[in-house]
Amino acid sequence: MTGSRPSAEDQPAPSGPEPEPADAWWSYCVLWAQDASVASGLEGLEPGSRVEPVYHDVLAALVSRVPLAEYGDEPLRAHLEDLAWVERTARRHEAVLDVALREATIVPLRLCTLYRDREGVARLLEEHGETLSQGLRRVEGCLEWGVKVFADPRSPSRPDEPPPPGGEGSTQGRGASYLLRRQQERALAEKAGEVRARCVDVVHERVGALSRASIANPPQRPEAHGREQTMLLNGAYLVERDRRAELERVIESLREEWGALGFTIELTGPWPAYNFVSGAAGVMS
Amino acid sequence: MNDSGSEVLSAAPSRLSAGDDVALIDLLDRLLGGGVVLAGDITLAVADIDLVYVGLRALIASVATAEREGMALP
Repeated sequence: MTGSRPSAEDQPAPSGPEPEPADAWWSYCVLWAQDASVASGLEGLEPGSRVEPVYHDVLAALVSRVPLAEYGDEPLRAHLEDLAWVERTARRHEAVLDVALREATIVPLRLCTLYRDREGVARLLEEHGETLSQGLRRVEGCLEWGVKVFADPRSPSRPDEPPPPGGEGSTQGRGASYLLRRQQERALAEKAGEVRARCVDVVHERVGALSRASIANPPQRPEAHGREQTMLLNGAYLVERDRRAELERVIESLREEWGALGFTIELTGPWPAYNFVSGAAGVMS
Repeated sequence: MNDSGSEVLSAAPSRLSAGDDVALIDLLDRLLGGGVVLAGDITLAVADIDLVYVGLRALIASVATAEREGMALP
């Protein structure tokens, strides 16, 4: 395994020999066997490797060869503490899924799903075929989209809102004016909270209305997203492929409605249906 | 089928959130927290992945905070 690119003459056939014990198989996703060709010609995580299908019955898993020297248990754990390695690996992994997703419905697998041989992959497809098929059917014809709502820390603000009364010109005693001001601040904060809640409700409901399924995940912490703004909504939506334009129009319309109040609405995607493929079942082993 | 025969095509998708404009936290939220978990042979156990995930999020958090505060990164 030197990483040299295979030429047309020596392309490995899917039914070729198993890799030497020095290699393992990294898995990307599961899809219908009839769709497995969407990944033809794709390069896998490791330069020079090919993304290949492993079939069982109506299903196929997309896998590619990786060296155990880097992806065995111990080296892998070490790599996972290196954010740069994780980022490179995650983006290359996701890039393969993105290509598959253009043409096919896929069940994405968690990062770092590895097998010692292709028989192991086929066995998993056999054991969990029914659950995997259900997952594929559940998200068939759809893409996942992320919608996040951020609030400016000072929002909502209305340009036409009058300043709170009871300032320096007041003839009331200092104590009374202070209390009045505090009351007004509390009222404003409560009102701001109501406006934020309303924004979240409207966005989630409006996008949900054109989705097959939707979920509001916990907003990311500021330390995680690194933004000054406060995240109010971290939604994921399963939307049929042909409703994409409609989704984009709805987002644009929501931005027009809420932008002036200091809310930012972000759309990410399309994603494989990470948030919707599994039913009640958690880990399958 | 691969029409060019000799090229190994790198996956270079064009999409709304391709490559670097996808926030790493969004990507990892999905890759480590979503999808289907099939226990592989060499795989980290589910509990281990969760620990890795927590650690990575903390690491991302510290990088994000450092960038925001203009600190020099190691």
